[in-house]
Amino acid sequence: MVRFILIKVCYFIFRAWLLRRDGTKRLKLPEVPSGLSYDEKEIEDTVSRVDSILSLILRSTRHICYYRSYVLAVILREKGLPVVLNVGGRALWSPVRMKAHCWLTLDEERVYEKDNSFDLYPLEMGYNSDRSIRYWIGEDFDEGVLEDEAVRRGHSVRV
Amino acid sequence: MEDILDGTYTIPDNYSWRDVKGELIVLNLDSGEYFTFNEIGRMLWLALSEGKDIKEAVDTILKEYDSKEDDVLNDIKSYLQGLLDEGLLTK
Repeated sequence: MVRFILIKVCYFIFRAWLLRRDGTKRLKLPEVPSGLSYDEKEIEDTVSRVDSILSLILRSTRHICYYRSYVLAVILREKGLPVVLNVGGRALWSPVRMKAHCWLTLDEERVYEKDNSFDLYPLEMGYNSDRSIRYWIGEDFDEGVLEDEAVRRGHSVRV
Repeated sequence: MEDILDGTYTIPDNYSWRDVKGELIVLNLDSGEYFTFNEIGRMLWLALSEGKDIKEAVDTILKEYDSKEDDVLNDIKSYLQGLLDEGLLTK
């Protein structure tokens, strides 16, 4: 069981890494199978195992919240738990100041998240088309940064 | 050749935007790609998002700028073309 979940987590970390690296691929989560019941204890054990594996593999990696949220979202949705992956961004026009955070919610409530850094992203932008991903932004705009470049673009999961 | 300022433009449903403290963020909800605009782009986007047609949007922008009308119009045209090329607007 532990070996199986280790392989799965490694595979999904790799997939998440590929998504961040390749700007042409869309972040997509699996559909939640209908009629599948889940066991709360089993879910808690799964989250705990995934966190243990992630803390070993991604100890010194930036963007750990993105990898953790993506891996947990895929695994929990496959188990029938309709978690939503939330992506928040701040100062998105500034290569220096931009910040981002990812976290999970279930029925609008945050889950499996210890800190409150998502409070920095209070403005909702909306859901993607299958309502598996929800986007937020923060308010800390820097008027001096936009300068005169006509359009700046970026990607929420690659900041 | 049709003038780019003669068309009717709509913002596709999969785009969401927020204008906070004078800064506009436009997000493609399906791809996660976001865009930030300069002031002309911001005014153009907000006017179109309010349901104004392109001529009303252009009038709104021209009223705000002291520069030569031709220069502002050229900026707006190239901006519109950029938005069309990126798929941020449909004609």
